[in-house]
Amino acid sequence: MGRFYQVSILLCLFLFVFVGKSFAQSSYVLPYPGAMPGNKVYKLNQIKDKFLKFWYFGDFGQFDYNLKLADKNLVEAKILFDYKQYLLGYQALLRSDDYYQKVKPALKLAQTHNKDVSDKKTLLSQASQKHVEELMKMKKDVPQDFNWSPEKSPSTNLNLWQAIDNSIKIRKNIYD
Amino acid sequence: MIKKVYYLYIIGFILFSLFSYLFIDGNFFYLDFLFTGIALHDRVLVSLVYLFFIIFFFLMYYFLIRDIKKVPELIKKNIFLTVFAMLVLLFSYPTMISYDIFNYAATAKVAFGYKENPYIVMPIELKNDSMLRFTQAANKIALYAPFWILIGALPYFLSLGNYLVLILLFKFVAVLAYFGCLYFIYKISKSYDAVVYFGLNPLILIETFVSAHNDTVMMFLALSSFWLLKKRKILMAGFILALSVLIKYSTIVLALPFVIVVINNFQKLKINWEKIYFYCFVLLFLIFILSPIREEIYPWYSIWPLSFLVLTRKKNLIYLYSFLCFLLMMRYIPYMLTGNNFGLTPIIKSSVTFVPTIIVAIYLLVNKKLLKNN
Repeated sequence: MGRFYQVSILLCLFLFVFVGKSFAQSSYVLPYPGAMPGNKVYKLNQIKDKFLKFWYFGDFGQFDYNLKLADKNLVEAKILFDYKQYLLGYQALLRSDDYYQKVKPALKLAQTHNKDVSDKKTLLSQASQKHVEELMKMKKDVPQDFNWSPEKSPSTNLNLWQAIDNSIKIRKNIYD
Repeated sequence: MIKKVYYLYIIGFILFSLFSYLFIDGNFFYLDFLFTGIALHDRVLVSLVYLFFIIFFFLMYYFLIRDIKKVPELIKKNIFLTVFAMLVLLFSYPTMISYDIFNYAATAKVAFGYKENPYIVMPIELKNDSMLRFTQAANKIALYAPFWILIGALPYFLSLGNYLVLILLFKFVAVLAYFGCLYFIYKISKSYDAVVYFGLNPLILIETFVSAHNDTVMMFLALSSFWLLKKRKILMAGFILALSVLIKYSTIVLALPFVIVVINNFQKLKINWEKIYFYCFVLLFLIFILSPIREEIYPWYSIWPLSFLVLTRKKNLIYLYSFLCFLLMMRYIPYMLTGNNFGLTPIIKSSVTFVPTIIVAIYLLVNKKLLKNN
């Protein structure tokens, strides 16, 4: 009987540890980024994204648009960092931040227009959680600083950790 | 005899309008005081009554078109009764057999009420809106082309936020388009027969006056485009055809006969208009029978080919097509009976429509009667 209790307690602990871990991760799915810098259609995609802003009119439309592009640019940054394309990755990260900061105002506007935003708020908190997870992973894989020295202009020092910390802060501010 | 048939036909539609109120959705709170639940609980009875109505309407229609020359005079003599019946039918319960009108209203509300893009935002995202209680396709983005959404602005703003008025105005748009179709059918064909074939067809009347499908609007624009083309107003005709395409896309196939006419015009060749209308019919019929690729064959899609078929004066084909219309109206019965679209329902729906059509078509082909002008 005592063995039964021991096994049960161990089993509960095992489940608690592993189930707990899986709950900690966000179920939010980030999109496939599409064409990356260097691809012929990348510039076209960027122009298309700019024009899509007008197609996604309305409060919820703007919410979707900015969140989608924040997601897309975050994934782009992650891939570029993986390939040690730090400057391009850094730029993508800044773009992602820029779009992300426009998400909450769109939601607030929807609220002032008496739209029920509860589902969107949930979505945004899931997105923030996922973004923070990814950013923390990113931080582990990139150097703290990166010195970018182009051929014909002075070099620039990119503080990658600071940029990532700032991105996390933006996500957490919106999440809170 | 024909006079009695016409009266019976009119009375039938007035009764049908009353019958439609048995189908009120319990969630449609605007009319919940009229909710009986009969269509939900006495499915067999309701299906049998519907079956009776459809057989009766098509039988009366058959008698009317058999004596078609007398019908215009009959309508003229009984104009008040006819208008009264049409008004009663206009006030029938709209989602008796199709919920599309609720989708039109929902799309208009998303676009003009909430000022969101209906191609991006689904009605279901606008939580707590009372329309979600009865709108069936709330989990879909706009199903229609942009011009239809734009047309929706008119009923939406004129309704001043009253949902019942909005629904009625959408019906009014369909009915206006119906009369527009009749007008251009007459202008093109210069024949009252064509007008009667189209205007008195029970499927056209039910799908326009009861369900208010936008297909009538699309065909009104297509017919007016071909009338303008006949008048050699090519640019205007092309613009109107484009508007028709921007209602529901299907009339894009008419671009082919349209271009043929334009080329013939430039080459100063004589145009066989009857042939052109027949091509239009064939192309629209092809799109109609290919519709299961996208979803399924809906009875109101048959409005597309019929609009041009009546211009061809191929009487036997019109008879055969009317028989198909009858079978298409039968497609509503399996759902009415079972309350779902699964299991045997789709099989019965297809069998009811196509098996008799194929048998009759083969019979007619064997007897070499098809496509033979009267």
